[in-house]
Amino acid sequence: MNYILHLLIYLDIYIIITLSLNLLIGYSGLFQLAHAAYYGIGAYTTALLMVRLGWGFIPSIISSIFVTGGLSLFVSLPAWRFRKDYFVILSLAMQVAIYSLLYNWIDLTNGPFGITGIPRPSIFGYQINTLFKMFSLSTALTLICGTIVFILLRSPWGRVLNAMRDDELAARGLGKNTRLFKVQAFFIACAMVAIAGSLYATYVSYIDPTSFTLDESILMISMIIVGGTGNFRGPIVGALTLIAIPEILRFLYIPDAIAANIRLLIYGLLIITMVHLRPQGLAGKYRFK
Amino acid sequence: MQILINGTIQGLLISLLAIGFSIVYNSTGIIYIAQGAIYTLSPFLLFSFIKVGIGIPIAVFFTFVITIFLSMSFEKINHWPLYKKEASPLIQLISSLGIYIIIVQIIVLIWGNETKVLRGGVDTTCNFLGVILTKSQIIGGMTGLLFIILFLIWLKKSDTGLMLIALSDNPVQLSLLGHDIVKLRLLTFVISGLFTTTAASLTALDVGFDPQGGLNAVLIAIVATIIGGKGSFVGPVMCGVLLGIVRSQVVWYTSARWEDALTFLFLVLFLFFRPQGILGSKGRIESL
Amino acid sequence: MVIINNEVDNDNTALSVSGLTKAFGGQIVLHDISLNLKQGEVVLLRGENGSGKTTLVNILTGNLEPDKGEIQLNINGNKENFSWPRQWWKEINPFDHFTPERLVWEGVGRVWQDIRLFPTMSTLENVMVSSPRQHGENPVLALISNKAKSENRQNEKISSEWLSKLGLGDRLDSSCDKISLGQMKRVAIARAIQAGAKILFLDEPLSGLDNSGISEVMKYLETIARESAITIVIVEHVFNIPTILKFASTVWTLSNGKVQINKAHEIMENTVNNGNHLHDLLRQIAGDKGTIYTEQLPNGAKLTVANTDSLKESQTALEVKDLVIKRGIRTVIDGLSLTLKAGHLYLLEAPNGWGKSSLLDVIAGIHPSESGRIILRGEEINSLPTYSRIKKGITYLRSQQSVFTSLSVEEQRRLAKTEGRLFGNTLNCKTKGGNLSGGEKQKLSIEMLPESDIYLLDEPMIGLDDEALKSFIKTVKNLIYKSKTILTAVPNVNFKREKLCCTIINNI
Repeated sequence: MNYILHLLIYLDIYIIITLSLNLLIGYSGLFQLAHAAYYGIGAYTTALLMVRLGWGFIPSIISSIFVTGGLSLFVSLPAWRFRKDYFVILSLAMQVAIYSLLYNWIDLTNGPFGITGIPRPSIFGYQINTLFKMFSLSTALTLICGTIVFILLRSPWGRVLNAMRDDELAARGLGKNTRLFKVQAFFIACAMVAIAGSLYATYVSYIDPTSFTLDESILMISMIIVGGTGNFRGPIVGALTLIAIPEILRFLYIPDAIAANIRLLIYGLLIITMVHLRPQGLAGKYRFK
Repeated sequence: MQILINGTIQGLLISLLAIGFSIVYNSTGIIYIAQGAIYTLSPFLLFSFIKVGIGIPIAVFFTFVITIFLSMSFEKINHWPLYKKEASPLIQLISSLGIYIIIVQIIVLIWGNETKVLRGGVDTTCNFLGVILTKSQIIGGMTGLLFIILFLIWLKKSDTGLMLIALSDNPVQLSLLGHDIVKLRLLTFVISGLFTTTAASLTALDVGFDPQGGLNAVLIAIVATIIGGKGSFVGPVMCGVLLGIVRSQVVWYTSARWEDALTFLFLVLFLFFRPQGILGSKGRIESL
Repeated sequence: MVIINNEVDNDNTALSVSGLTKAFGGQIVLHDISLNLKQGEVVLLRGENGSGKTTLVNILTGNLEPDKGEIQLNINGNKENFSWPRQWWKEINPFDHFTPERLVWEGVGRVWQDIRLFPTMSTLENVMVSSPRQHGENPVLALISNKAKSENRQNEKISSEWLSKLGLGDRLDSSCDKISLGQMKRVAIARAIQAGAKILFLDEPLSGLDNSGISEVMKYLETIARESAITIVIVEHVFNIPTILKFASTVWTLSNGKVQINKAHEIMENTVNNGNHLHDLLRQIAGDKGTIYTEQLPNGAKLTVANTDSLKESQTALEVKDLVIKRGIRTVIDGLSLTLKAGHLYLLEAPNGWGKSSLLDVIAGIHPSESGRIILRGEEINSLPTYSRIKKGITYLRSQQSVFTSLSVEEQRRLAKTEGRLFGNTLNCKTKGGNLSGGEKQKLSIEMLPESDIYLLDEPMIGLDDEALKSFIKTVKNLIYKSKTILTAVPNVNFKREKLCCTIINNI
């Protein structure tokens, strides 16, 4: 039972992540290879505030939202000139740069040693001290994020994002300031992934840079590609599928030493297969051209 | 002075990689991340072939044969079919990333994750005009320079070179002149494989190799290409050397940690202020 | 057809342009253009392909910036002034850029030639998204504001009514590929007006439409002009100009980068595109022994065929059977069949948007077809890549992007293995392709054509001066004498067809 709760908490975290990444890839046309880096910033901010400054969970997560969102502005505000493929390269560079920061700025982040002893959250005095309570918290946050995304996608804002994705020039020809919408989408996506990061940090109580590498970004991208994009349920299917794979591997008794490699290998194969055979993913609406 | 020479030699190797990347990128528009897979694979192949005892020249030969063949298969199996389906550059990039992941994981499964070296023991050094150079550096520098010069001359003078430049300019028109662009595209992958394997082996000779460095190496090649200018072949070469020099200076004055961060800062600045790079042409008017 | 007598408000200039200049590479496309647009006017903007019409419209709608000049807007009392070259401090100010969305806010709207409805959204959503200044477009307000939500419901009601008035009341939720072309065009117009256009630029609105589609769209435009007092500029091509002339009050004619302004009733005959050279060409080919006849094709296109000797038997060179071609979600050509014989010249005249270039692209293998067969001398070539088809005897001159911009003339001739004798020494060997003028590019691309059996030429005569035209016609004649086959696509032209032709065959 505990094991299943553990798995479900992970699922919750990744659903938040894929919903946020979908806003960028499936709607704004911004192919982001640095999502794990922002995930890491969210996690580290919460962790540092809670451990070094003794802040509670709620102020920490809120600050982490604004720090990560703020960082996104740093990238998105100047990036309006960028062509699509340049943006990918830029995001790749951001991933490497942020990871390098987390790894090398030892004074702030403790470098490769990571941050230990992150306390479990306490919401208005209610201490989250059992696995089940953690699960309730993660599910609650997931539902909140999901509802927000759901409402946004059906709102006029979401409609403009849809139009922008279909034909950005025509959208501009109707008076839509697409630059602004991209900046907004980027901010919301990063804010949301910061929530996921904060959840992760307080759940595992120890974080280090190795959880926020390019491999992790690739995993997130794979979820979107496999599950499909451009609608609401595609990312959820993607998260489900790719969380399930390591679990299935467990049943095949693959030695731990190479389990991580086999997992990554499968992600790579999935990416190639999907791209060639079914660009719209398993459950997506938008066919990547 | 020492730093400058070190940087230049390092830069020449970066230029080799930049040629390997830009020749595919210019001609086909593919952001060739899978080049990192070739980069990672070459030293391992060389290592194993040498260990088996067949002698260095034959080991080198086999390594090149395999990596070139592999590069060609990327095009044949992956990129060309996607091109025929009119896939966007983004899809090509994602598929290239997928290839990179698959090959690197296979490398780890076969050879393990630790760093290895290609030469046994300490490198011999020699003193050249007050600057100390290791044997690997000398071999690396001279080979790099030779290849680059030969390549640029070939590009400018030969008919095939002209076709490659035309391919990156207007591939449809080139095929309308009756030229076989399938073969030309394969050729770009072959040349890329050649240069990448060379660069990877020379670097591995100097500082060793491991399965994780491939992507970083490609990223630096990408930076050199973008700063050098899309569509230009000379630009990436020049910027490769420039990057090498800048990076050594950075290492000298601060520390190795910040090498990469500053490289990307350089990239970002260029993308903002001069996206066509130093020698690139201003892109076509956005088709409306 | 109802003739609209627009109340032209002579005191109220909505848009005024002066000294507008724009050059691409070495070629000056717009030369010191000055224009005046009064509120309520309906203007026809005409000119040959390559005359700069599209560039002018792109500039006036914010999609392109000119090199020099001034644009003044005066809509609803709101005056705005743009001048180039722009001062550097204006470039840095992120709120003061000359962009399409900025101009839409000022009241300038545009309907694209290829319509550009959003393909993954329903017709209703397409119209709803155009409403300006929706509160719900702010993500925070979209989540928490009730006002935004009720505004959205109101928007839905109004947009549904718009669509019902257009006769699309039952198609609110269908995606855009399920409605007819004429309906799509009207939705696009509705969209632009919903977005707040007070000056509306329509880029070839009648292209690709059949007669009933044309009357639908014209009726709609007339209603709008009458009810909403919108100033309209219509860019149209030869074929549809008579229809527009009944509606327009002023005509702007663009030629060689300069503009000529006339009142609509002054334009008696359509003197642009008089196709004299085509007339010459056909007559020279037919000579004494040949024939010329014209077939009607669907959607307003004509195929004129000329041969040198009507008694000579000729082989079939190229056949096209039941060809269906799509561009994006739009079916451009729906089941076309053609037979081309050796030693014949085929002139395909069709309006812009008909699919001339798409057809030639598909025959050459640059674009895949949905279905249908292409048979070259008895052999099916559907699955062959472009360069194989070239090797088998097809040559294609595209209407755009037919030279290499970064290679010099010399290098390009080397690549094409020609010696450049066709146009004498009028081209400088060292110039890079991108710096040639339009006419020079055209000459170079004609020179580079590989020798072949079947020549596909897309608007080959654009930009050629009289000397070059004479050489070109001579070359075409020689090719026909050598029993080659030539299919030339041109936009509709006017020439005295009756003097040439014996028969007009209906082949729809």
